[in-house]
Amino acid sequence: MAERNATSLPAPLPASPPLTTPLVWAWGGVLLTATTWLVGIIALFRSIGGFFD
Amino acid sequence: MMERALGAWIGLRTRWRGLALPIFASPLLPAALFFAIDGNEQGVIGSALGFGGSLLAARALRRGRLGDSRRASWVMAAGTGLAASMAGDLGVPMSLIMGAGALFGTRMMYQALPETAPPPPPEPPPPPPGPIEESRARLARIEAVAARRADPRLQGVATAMEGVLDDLTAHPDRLPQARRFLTVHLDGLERIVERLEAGAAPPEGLPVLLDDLATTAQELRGRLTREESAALDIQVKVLSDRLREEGFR
Repeated sequence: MAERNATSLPAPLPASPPLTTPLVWAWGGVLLTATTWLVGIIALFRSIGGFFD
Repeated sequence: MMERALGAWIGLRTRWRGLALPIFASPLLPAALFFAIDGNEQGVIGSALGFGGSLLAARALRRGRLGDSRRASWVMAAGTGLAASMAGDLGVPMSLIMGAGALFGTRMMYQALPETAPPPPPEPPPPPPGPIEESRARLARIEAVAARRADPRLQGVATAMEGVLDDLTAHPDRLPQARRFLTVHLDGLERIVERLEAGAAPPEGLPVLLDDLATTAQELRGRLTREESAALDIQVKVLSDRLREEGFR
């Protein structure tokens, strides 16, 4: 009986993400800007600087 | 209200996910070009690795399978670290910091986006039919024609051959001895049936041939049974001799 009740229960709904999630996304974007994009800019300036050496 | 807006936003970001990564790495493209003009091979390789890593990470994210965002963040970290070291000439500690930043940045930026489980591997194709099953299918076609034409001789041959196939199904070890028989008889019978179906008039010798086919099928069954009996006879003799030698009889 208990088993039958257990199987008839609806599947739990997936928990919705916290409302602070966009803030986490934004911080991720900031981190990527401060790392990948910055590395690109540094490389770009180095490559341009190479012409003046 | 807020949750619904967040859900819609997640849906939008899921559709566009991964496409921002090559934009973050885009300054590496002109850098690679300028390095190439300047003849700085290390700079070109570093820039190419950094931008290529962002493309690979974007590809993994676009796939959206379980664990892909983790994989993409590691690829981003490797690309950024290599670009920092080779193209940016930032030194090992700073390159490691840049790589770690890219790792956590990617992970945070694509957090909470849904990922699907990878699809189950495709089912292996069914094994090809064995020689007996294949012969049975061919014989079924012949039997169908025989029944349609209400030809007792053709039906007799088909029945005799079905008996052979029944024997072979029960004793598949006898198949090597009957393989040639199956090939010759089934091929011949199929050709005859095809011609008859195409409207050919049965020649005079056909009834005799069909009788011969039925007879040889029955003879084969008898021969296989006899061989089996002979094998059993030998076994019995060997066991009797052994019992006598051992003193049990």
